[in-house]
Amino acid sequence: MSAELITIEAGSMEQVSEQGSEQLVELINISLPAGSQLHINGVEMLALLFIVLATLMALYRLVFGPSNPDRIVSADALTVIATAIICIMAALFQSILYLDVALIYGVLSFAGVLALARAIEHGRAEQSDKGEHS
Amino acid sequence: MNDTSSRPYFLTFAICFLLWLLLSGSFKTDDLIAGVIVSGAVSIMTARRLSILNGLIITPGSFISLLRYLWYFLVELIKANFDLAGRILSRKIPITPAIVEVQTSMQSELGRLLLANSITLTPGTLSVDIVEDRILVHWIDCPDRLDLEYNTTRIAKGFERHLKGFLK
Amino acid sequence: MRLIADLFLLTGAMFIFLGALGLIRMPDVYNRIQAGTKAVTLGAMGILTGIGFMYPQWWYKLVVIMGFILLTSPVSSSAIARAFYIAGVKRWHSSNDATQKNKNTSKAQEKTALQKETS
Repeated sequence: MSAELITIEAGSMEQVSEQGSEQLVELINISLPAGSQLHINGVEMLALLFIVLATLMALYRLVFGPSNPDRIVSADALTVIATAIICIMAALFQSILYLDVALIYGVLSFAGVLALARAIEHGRAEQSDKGEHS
Repeated sequence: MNDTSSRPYFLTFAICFLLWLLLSGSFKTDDLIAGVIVSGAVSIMTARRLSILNGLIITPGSFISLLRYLWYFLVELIKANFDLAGRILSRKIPITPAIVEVQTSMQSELGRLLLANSITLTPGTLSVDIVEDRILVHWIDCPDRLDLEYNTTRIAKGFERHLKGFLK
Repeated sequence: MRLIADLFLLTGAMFIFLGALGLIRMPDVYNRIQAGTKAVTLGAMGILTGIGFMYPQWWYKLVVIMGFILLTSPVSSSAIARAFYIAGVKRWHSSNDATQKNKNTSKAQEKTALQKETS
């Protein structure tokens, strides 16, 4: 199933594959509890790549979106993506505490999006109509 | 305290305690006692103003129909996503969007909320607004025929049939 | 076990990717909401299920997060759509209404709107 398999143990980094993704592991700078292991195989790397691409595309819509409503829509989608990413971080760091972080993040972003929708609905009716898009 | 006035307290307490169990994930005595105290306090403070739980019907049969609704919802969600994936990946996006009206026969607030949620997550429809018993739906691939009965049977009837089992 | 988890993770990531692609490709705001909310919600479900298969001892918290996302993601997107509808954000072609529809003119408008979009 997995062509490349990285094995990390606490304290000593042991590399199995030649052209692996040890840079990713160095980037996120994991310090694992003793005795636990972290494997990232090829399928999971592919899944992570898809999520990174999706985040970049949603960020493109957020930054260069032609009008303000597009930005709000992509922010709404990004909150759910961010919740999923925090859960993935929980799986990567092997700590259940990150799931609490994800839950609280979901609650707060939901409240934020609802407040944003209310604000558009009441105050900024004429301004959001001025978007040049269609 | 008769049956109708104690019901929302009991329901709120049950939901809060279930949430506490799921969040804490432990069955130790300390945690259980703290959960009972906290969810009891929350239910005493808020249950009178929580009108959203009024529509629930609680019988053994309603639990089974809740499970059947969840299963139907899951199947519809997966179908909706494959439909949407096909639309997104085709080169010329085949959509004819329109905003249509759907009539609902759900009486309670919770029933309308769940129906609107289900409509949002099913193939090509997005519920926009609820006015009394009409739901405004943005339909991504609207057919030529446009009357209220046709839309209602196409969009809402399947969910209403399942939701009627445990909601007014 | 690990294989099933990988399968769910990959499916979820694929759907999140498709949702973001729909966010880019769809022609107007309401259709973008549709793509964004549906595909991203199912993708998050898939990823959480995959993590649940990977760490079966976390199931209770993952169930809470899944139920929360399933309840709130459609609500927030509906709220946004309602706000746009009330604030008068224009749709792709507005001849399709709740009461009337003229197929020919809407097709023509569709073509012009598509050309505007691609140019």
